[in-house]
Amino acid sequence: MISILQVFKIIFSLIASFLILIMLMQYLGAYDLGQTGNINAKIMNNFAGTVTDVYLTGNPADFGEFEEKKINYFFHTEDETLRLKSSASKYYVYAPFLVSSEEQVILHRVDYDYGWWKFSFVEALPETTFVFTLEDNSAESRELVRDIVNSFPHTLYFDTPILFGFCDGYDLLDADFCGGSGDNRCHRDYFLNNLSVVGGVSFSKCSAQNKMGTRHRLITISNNCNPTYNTGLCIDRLAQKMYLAGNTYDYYNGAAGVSMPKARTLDILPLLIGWEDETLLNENLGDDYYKYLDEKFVEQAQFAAQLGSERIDIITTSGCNTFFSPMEIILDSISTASDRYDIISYLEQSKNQHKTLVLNGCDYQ
Amino acid sequence: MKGQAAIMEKIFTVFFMVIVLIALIIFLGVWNVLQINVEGQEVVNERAMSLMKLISTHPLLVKEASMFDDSKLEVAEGMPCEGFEKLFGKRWYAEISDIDGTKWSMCILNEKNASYDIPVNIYHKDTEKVTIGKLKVGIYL
Repeated sequence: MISILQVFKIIFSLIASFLILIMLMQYLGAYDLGQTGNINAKIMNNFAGTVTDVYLTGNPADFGEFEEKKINYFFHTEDETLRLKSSASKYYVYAPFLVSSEEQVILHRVDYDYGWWKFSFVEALPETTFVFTLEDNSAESRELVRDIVNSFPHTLYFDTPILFGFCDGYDLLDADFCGGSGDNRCHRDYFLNNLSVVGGVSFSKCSAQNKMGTRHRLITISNNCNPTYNTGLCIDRLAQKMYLAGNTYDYYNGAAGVSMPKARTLDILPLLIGWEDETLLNENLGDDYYKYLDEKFVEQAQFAAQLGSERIDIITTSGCNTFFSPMEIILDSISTASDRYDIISYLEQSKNQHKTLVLNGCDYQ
Repeated sequence: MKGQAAIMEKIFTVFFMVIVLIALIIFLGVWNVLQINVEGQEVVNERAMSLMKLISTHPLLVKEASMFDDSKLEVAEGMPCEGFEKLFGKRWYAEISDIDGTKWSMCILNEKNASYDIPVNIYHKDTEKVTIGKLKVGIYL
């Protein structure tokens, strides 16, 4: 027969055990959440560090920690700074950067060098194949393709391949187009070596979308983009417009008769990286990046021009005054211009004028 | 009496178990807080180091990596901090001093900070000579 004392002992033990178990579970739950947050924060910090390293050195680098530990991170421009943010933490990355995907990415620095000033930003992309359709297959269009392709790294010895190819009607030339090169895939340099092969080829509208996966990004260069029905990015070089995900963007190809500015890819790259992805605020990522990079480029160019112009007042000498005066006028025009395309034009002029200064021993490269 | 003693024994056992558990929780909590503080310090260090690298290689301030141009520094010193904050972020300062004692500074505030120094070269545009100097970069806490 069980005594009252034994019944009490059993009930007391059950209640005490239950309460202790609840307490432990609650604490362990919170502790686990905290530890996960710590790991995520560490990965984000590592990523921010890698972006800075790539920005400083110009050497491309793979980053795979996001793939091992799935983090729901996102990018958001706030206080004029791009933030890397997850549920647990946020990081400011001061180097301008554009990132696509949440998996393994390759980071690469893109430079626009004007001699006296250089604008750089870091791009990060997962494995991607850019497919070009040259409906407008002129020498200028192929030159534009060359400029776009040159903005990505040659990835033969990296874990994250960035590949290139063509689409002509129902033919998708992406895998074996650069046959016999490296791992037989069209990495940047192999693609560029083969670019002249398509000179004179008449391209049909790409209809091979069914052969493309989620890693493919179709870029059409045409004089007849259809803003409503086009697939991927369509660039109308003559109208200086681009179309992506139902949106229209301005694109600067330079004034007629003037050499094409390298900064024209500044309009295209944000769309290629952000693409049609959505931000957490349901905005188009390509659209977000387009505005962000535009703003960064203009504000840095104007600040640099302001510094450069004031520096001329300090360093100008009688022998160099003839060369410094036009440079100062150009720099003042950059710092006061309100139109981005005017700024890009002035920057092209400043590059040439700076070369003159260097050739005459008035400044250094 | 025997029954009461057994109940007390049980209550004491549970009481001590709870005390041990609370002690463990407090220990883990304090450990976490300490870890967060250490990591916070690491973040400040890393930011200072990154900033140092950025400043010592930025074309608006240098002739080449780790060689500041005195004409660029002179202009930079006279500029408002906001322009540099757009390049390097907020709440930092930099001070470059030449061996002869000439100093150029940016974004100086009278606030608590953590700072680091590295030796650098300074190019003098007018004489085209290079002297040695020091770059000090600080992060306001």
